[in-house]
Amino acid sequence: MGYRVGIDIGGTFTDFALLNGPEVRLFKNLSTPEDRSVGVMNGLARLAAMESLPLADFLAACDAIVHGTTIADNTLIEMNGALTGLITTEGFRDEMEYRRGYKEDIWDVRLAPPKQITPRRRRLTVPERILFDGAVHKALDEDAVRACCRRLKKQNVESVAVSLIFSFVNPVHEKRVAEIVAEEMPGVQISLSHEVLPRAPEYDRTSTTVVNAYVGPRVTSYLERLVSRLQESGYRNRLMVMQASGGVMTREYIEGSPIRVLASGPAGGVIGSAHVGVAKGHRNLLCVDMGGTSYDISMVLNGAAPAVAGWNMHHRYLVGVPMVQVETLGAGGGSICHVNNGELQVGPASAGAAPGPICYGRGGTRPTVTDALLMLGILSAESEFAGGSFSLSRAGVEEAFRALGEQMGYSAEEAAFDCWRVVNANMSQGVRRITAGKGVDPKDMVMLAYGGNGPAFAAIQAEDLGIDRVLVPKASPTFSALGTLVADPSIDEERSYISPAGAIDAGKLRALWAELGERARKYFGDAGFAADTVAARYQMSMRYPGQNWALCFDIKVNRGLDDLSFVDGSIGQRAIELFNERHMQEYGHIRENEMPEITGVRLATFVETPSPTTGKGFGAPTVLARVAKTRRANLGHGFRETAVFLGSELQPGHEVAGPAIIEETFTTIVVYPDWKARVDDAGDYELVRV
Amino acid sequence: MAWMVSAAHPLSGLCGGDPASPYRSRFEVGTPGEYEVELSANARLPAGAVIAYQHGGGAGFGPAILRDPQAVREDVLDEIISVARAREKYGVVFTGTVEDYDLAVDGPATEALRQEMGAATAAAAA
Repeated sequence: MGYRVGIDIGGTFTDFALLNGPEVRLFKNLSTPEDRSVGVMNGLARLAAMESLPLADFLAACDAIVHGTTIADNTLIEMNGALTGLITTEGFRDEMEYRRGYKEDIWDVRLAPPKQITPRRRRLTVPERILFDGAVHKALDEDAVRACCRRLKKQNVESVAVSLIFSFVNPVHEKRVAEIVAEEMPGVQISLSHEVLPRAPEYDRTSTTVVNAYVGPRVTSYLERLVSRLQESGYRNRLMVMQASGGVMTREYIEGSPIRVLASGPAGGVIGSAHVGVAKGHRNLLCVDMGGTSYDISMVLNGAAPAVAGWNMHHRYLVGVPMVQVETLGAGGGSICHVNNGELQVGPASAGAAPGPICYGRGGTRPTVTDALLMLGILSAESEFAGGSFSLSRAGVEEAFRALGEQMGYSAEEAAFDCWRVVNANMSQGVRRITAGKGVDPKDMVMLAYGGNGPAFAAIQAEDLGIDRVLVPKASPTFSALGTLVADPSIDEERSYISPAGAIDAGKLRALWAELGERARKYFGDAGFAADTVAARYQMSMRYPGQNWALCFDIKVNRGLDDLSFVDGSIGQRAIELFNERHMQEYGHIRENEMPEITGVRLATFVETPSPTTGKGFGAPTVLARVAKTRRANLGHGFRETAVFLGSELQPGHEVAGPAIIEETFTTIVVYPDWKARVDDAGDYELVRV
Repeated sequence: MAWMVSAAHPLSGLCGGDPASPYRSRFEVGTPGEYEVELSANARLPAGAVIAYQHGGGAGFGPAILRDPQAVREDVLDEIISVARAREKYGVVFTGTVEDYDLAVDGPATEALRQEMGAATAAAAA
């Protein structure tokens, strides 16, 4: 078996996980924002060198390269996507601007509404009307479509979204619009709502289609560039790309639906967390990922992190495709510390990879969280940083914190300590909002900390939240990259079908699932997976009449895509029972005398692929680890001489009592006072409260 | 039973801004008894009656002729207001057309028109 490489591009670092049999090698280098594929190729060259192979031989020996990219997220953060137009049904021109309320928080007078991807001049309408049952009520006015095209063309539109009312029931008009747009505007990318998100309601569908059109050209050109670089350098297999649903799929599939890579990076980390946590016997995990730019929070409950389709607000746009639920705060190593109206604040602005924290010595002048850690002695200018890619420098750091302290009326060290406290408080607040929203008590969970900065804060976060066990996988700094290797190839799609559950048309259900099954068969087949290796979860979405949201549940899990015999006359009755069970679980009550309605069907398909094995348990005898050195550090209780251990010297069975600092190759683990760390048989760390 | 808000009292402008366009509400639309609600109504409507409700706008803040002409241009390009309305209300004169997306603010003409409008307003106030 050859190599498998997982690659995850973050705002600051590009992370690599190389799997060779059961062995995992990690690497990270700085991202290259001007052309991210450059950073990828640089890192691959380093990996090849580590394996003592020329790049071409290394790539030829790779069975799979799996990639998680933030290109779509960055496009939405920076709002630099394609110049996008929207063609929609007469009367629906302004729906994208009404949204679900003009802005997310109507009480915040300072919050401006989001920038329109398609301002009104590029949102044009055509007379046509298809009814809820698919009947054509008003024929499509083709001349109006051509007139729209001319107007969009005059505005140099590069990408066109088409979203007509009830197109998901009958796409005939949308398909015709696509033909006309292709004739009138050769070369533009076209996103059709009945393909991107074929379901009600129309605002969700339109918003998702518009975002798809906006990020699509950036995603496809990036992937094409990367694939051609990989091929030129000797890679012969398919590039697999991480999706927000937590599964990977071929580049060809992604190009048909680029929006599916939005939020895919963090999803890789969550999938990796579930894999590691479950292997170690922990089924309820609070996963926190603190990198250079952001702090991502997610939960694994009962061993799984299911993808939720529907209400996913992403960078202020509604995106309806399935996503693993990850909440993001602007709190990372690069988060900038500043004083605002007499209040010390950290983030959400980040110094990113360029110019970076002051201590990176790359021109950064504003103090960041990483600089605060250096001031506190948690990081050291004498130690290697990021695996020896460069060293930190104290030049300018102290001055910056002194300036901050002067505004607050205290010393530079006190300012750095306050920054540490503020960023901690921000993160704990973020976690509580999410656990409380789900009715979960963090006390019952194990924290899994990753990302370059996660392990420096994990135990203190845990203490704040009442958690007394923290896992820090050896692979934690490049965990999202490892997660892309754990993730299975998968396709998760839905179709709309609205009917009272008591009057379901089994033939219609069968036809919809067969259609989804055919798509899965095609794309898995192209990727080299036979249909009988595909596992299929047939799911239904249902709600009580009058409810806004539907709940989704499995009605059948099969191997292979052929057996639809479960769709029989009794499926409605079974669906009602399963729905009530799910409703009880989610909301704690059911409405016994009401007939729920089905809103759609979903088919989640995946193929199990080999994952890195994860050791478990503590077989090795416990021995105290050797202190490598000491340094002056403040771990929350004032500055004192603190023991420092080297991760490279720690073996399974080693124990480190806090207060202590463990310097790993790509991260620093802080063992706070009243905590101890142990290395398990896999070389992963477990921190427990004494 | 239906209640409606007043069409006679639109939101007031502030600091010299104009009042908003008012809410418009009509009851029993499409029947001989159709009527517009001027101030308020607390009416018992027959089953199946149609109500038409048109949301009013937001009011102005500051005199319209002081609004940034480029912001007015954006509104015209977005077809929120017409070229004619931009001229009559905001005193902005354009060259080019909305259809060709080459609309540009005619600076001197806008300046002259706004001066004229300002003088007229001052005269009316005096």
